[in-house]
Amino acid sequence: MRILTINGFTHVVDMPDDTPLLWVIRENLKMTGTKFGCGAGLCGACTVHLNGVAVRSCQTSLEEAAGQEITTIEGLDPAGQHPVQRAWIAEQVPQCGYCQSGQIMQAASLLQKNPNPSDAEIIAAMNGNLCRCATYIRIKKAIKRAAVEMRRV
Amino acid sequence: MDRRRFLIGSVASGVALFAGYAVPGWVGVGEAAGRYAPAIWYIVDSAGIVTVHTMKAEVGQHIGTALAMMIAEELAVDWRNVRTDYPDPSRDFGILLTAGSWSVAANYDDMRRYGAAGRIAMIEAAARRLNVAPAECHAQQGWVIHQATGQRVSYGMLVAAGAVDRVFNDADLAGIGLKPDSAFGLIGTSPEALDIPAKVDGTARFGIDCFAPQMLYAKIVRPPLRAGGKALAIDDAGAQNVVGYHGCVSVDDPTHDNNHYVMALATNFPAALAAATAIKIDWGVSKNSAIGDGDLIAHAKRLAADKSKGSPWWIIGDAGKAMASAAARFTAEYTTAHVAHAGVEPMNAVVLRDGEHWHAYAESAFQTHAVAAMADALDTDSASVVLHQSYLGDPSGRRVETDALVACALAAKASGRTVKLVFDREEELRFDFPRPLTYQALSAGIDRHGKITALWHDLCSAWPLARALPIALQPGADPKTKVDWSVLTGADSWYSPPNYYVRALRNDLAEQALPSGFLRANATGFAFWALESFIDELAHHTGQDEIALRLQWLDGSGPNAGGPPSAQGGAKRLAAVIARIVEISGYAARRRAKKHGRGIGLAASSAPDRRQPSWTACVAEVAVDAASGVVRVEKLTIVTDIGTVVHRDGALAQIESAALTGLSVALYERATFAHGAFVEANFDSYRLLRMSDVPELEIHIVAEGNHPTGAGEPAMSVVAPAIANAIFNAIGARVRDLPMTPDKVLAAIERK
Repeated sequence: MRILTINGFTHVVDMPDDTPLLWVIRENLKMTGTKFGCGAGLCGACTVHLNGVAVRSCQTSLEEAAGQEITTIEGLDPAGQHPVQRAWIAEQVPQCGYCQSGQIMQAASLLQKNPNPSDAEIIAAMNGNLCRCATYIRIKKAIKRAAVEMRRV
Repeated sequence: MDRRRFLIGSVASGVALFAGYAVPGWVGVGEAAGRYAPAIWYIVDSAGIVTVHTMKAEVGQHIGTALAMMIAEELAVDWRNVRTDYPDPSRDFGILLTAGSWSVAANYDDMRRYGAAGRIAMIEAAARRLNVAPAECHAQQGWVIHQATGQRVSYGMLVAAGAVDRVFNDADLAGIGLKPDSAFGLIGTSPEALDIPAKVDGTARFGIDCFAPQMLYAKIVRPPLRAGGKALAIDDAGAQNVVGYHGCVSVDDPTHDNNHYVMALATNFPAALAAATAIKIDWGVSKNSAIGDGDLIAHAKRLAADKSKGSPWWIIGDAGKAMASAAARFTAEYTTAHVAHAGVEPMNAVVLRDGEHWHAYAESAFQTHAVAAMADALDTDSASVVLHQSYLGDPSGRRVETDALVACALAAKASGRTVKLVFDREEELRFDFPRPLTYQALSAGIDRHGKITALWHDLCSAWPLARALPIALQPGADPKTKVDWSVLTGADSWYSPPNYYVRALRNDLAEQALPSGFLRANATGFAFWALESFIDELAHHTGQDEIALRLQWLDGSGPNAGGPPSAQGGAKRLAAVIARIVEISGYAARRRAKKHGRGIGLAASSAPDRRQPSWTACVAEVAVDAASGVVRVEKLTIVTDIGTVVHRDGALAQIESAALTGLSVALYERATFAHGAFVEANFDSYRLLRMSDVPELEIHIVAEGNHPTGAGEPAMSVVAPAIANAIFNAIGARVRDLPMTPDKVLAAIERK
């Protein structure tokens, strides 16, 4: 038995300690915004925040996540109105949309640490998040837009 | 005969108005109130909200938005009151296929007519209510207005009153006058795509997000070779120790896509994965275990060398005779690697049985085929199968295949349980149905004066349609033989050399060794790469200007004159696009500029196919490091004439996506086939485009009122040849093998 705190709510999970957090979130707790892509930390679709920092939930075990503050796309903002999410709509970023939860969580983590990232810093932070629709140009624009908005607040 | 009737009516309860064709077995108005009726294109409820039912698969092209815009434009409603949904195609009311960038073009007239029919029905109902003549009324923003008195009735009020009842036959529909382009208020604008909000807050539902009570998870145990085999002996003793393991099923694959499936069942996905890994299977031996990419290319060369092989795909004049009598010939060979779909969402399905019905929750871009394949696998009829659609998490074309759905259905039937099947990344890449490997040889006949008299194009590839849907094979230029157009479209280019012959060759060894499939811009991705590289080489070889040569052959003569609806204007529209991009990019001056490893190249295409050509050109600017062979694409300029643009930002997004996916395939993507199997198993070795690889991108859409054509594929077909031509311009070396990785560039420099 492990206790997980996800988006401020507590869940008791009865799974083996080495179960990837991704599967606990998706299949046990049915929070499906976090996606399975590669199972090896190579695509970024499963990105969540652990104590505010972006991690790959497919490479994070239940044991490691227990007792930490976990945030998923569903909890990034209670109304889905985080500045990054608003920027994603303003720039009309998603196409198929499957990787976008991970992209948004990665971008939100970047902007929390670095409120005014350069192009190179954006690329360094986002380069591990793959998008088969190749929406990278809009992702970069949206991150810059969100950065401006977040600095204004 | 009035068999097809387009109905517009209020349902008995008076809560909604619907518009759609009556289909066999679908009785009438009242019945629609309490049940699902898939022929309905849209409904209007008593609050005036319009919900457009999207029968096309939403793969991120925002097709629901574009189709809804067409309906809303003519229905005359406030866009803010328009919604879209993606109903389950549980009945056969036509072939449901989303592919080839066809959706906008193929539905452009019909959707507007369905909208206009709704507007007419509303105006007539309102006129009856106001006791005035319909001709004295008009509709706007969801209201019918009587001009003389200013009296207004909203669509919602008419629906609530159950006042709308109108039947249109085909002649009525065809007779409806549609708005001229100049009167458009919505078409050509960029409203926010209706599918985007759910893709930003995590609520969008993909196939993998489906759960059912008491379901088991299935994981396929894969054979060592791609073409599979049959499990001769299964030992699952090791899996018995996995907590949650529920045994395995071993079944033949009735579709023959994969021959045989062994699947581990477990109560959760990690347990199914662990169990699958622990199961030991004797797959026997296969003659395919010795086959690799080199063998497939060698076989293709043997086929091409045999003049008795193959079938004609495209003919102008008598190229055979012209080649035979040519004073000189110039030939070049091009090859392309297998390309994986590599969508980020792995294939998946949930199948459950509910009494007489089988329900499948699985993404499909070819629902008609999926339902038939599943019914066949379950040994039942299509009417007993209900396919529930969701958003598709992969834009690359993988979801026209039915393998995951069929395997899941077989597991559900064999186990008597509800089953969720999910691929892992390794099987996604190693058990894909990739874009086939190709070998292409192009030759030109040249006369004594240096004039080009003939163009000959051999295209050898596996024929994926022969596996997936043989009924869809069609005659090419010879009515007696059928060919796989899915690997040939584009090779029937709009150029008019004096004589032209395209020969389709079927790589039977490749078909034996692996099942290939259909990638976004499948044939145009490799056919134009070879053709447009060759034109560049040929111009250089004969001392001509490569732009002048293209424009000379884009004279719109003979079969290249074009015609309505989508190919109006023909080859001359491609010539105009080329002239435009040459001007915009400053191509001529920069082509001649000093190099220092920098170069500029141009290519043109008419993807997706001759019926719906999107006239497209690309100029690529590259920097090549001759020491390492690394190519850096600095800028891509795209000019594309796609006729009338319905959803402007959606079209732009598709062109961005296609251009960058084209770049990914041009420089990075290779599914290596060796010893009967694909090598790359995850994204560390299967290289997709990343943010750091993205160049500057400049896109110009030419929209001059012609019938729309697709935006999702054409840009993908021009990027690779533009880059190849730019590399040649930069360093004088010609890369003829895709992807153009550093080793190929270095080899080309060596050959120089």
